[in-house]
Amino acid sequence: MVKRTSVMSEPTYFVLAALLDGPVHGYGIIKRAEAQSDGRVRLAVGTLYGALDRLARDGLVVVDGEETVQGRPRRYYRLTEDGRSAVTREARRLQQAAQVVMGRTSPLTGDARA
Amino acid sequence: MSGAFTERWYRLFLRAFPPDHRAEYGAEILGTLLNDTPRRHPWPRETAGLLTAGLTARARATAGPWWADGVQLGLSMLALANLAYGIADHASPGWLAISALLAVALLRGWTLAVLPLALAVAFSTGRAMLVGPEATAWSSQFLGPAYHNWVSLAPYGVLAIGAIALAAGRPRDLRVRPLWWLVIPAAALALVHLFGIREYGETWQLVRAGTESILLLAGVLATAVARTPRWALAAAIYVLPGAITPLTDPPSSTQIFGYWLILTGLLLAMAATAWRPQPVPTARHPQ
Repeated sequence: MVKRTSVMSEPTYFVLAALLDGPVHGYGIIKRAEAQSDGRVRLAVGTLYGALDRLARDGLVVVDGEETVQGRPRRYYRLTEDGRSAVTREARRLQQAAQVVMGRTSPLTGDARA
Repeated sequence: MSGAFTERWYRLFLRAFPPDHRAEYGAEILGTLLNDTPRRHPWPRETAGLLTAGLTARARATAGPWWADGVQLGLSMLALANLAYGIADHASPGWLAISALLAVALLRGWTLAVLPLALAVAFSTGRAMLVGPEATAWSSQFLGPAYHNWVSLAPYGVLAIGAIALAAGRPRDLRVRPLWWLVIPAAALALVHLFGIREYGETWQLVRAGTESILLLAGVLATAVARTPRWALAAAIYVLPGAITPLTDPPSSTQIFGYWLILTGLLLAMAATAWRPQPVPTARHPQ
């Protein structure tokens, strides 16, 4: 029994977002997540694979292929349809939340009365 | 610093992950750490990442239904405490053997062995109340202390009821816990026989309170990560039978009052943490 909300953590969001353009390997996900979050999400390798394991169990990502680099496996991960839907839903939620603020403050900036 | 040393270093911290996670991702994690990241020496941030992600994965690892896992853990703690106090009381070898067998059976998830052992332990400690005061004098190598009030018998009653629940529920995939938990009775053995610590003395009570607090705090952290009530249930099974003692026998000092207050507070913190939802994504059709 694990209680869950529909709110996604920021690292999870950027891990899923890193896979939107197609399959990426572990280190590629780390670099993309860091770049796309303006350096806010800097995942340690262990943290990334813990997240990938959970996301795979939830059916949001799957292994797309595997190669061997210097004798060690390197797998590529891709989004499932559920994964794409989940990250898109979260993006809409964030957009709506941002709109609450951005839609009001811009016109009023510098319009304070004496 | 050699690459071989870096690999050995990261392999050591990979052991924080559960075995199935290591089998699935271990080689790939090492490959990413050693082939892809620009650093060729152990990096504190990556080391901390392995440790925290590994312990988080262990906390989230499931085995059987949550209630059975919680009952098994709570009963294991009661059995370990019973064994530690048997050692401190210089109990008979037969009683210590039964107590040790019960603790091992609970840790390893041997449900059918747990039931007769738990019932035997509960009957032995409760024989004066169940049969009569004359039962206290029964002479046997396999009998433990006989308690003369129901409050002192509460942990043993919980032990028996929990064992019946486990046997009746027949949960599959009960967790097999490592035997290093036996370090608790081993510490009791060392305190009493190596360091000559008097049972129930100040040092004994301090070690007990410290161990209990650390384990309960670890339970709060594990609950915060996994958001499951299994540790809260285990903590309730261990703490509540003892926490009712002050209700009938008011604490003789502020230290004892504080001790029960801290244990109950940690239990409540665990229960409250388990109730808060976990911020992770959910698929429409979780697998």
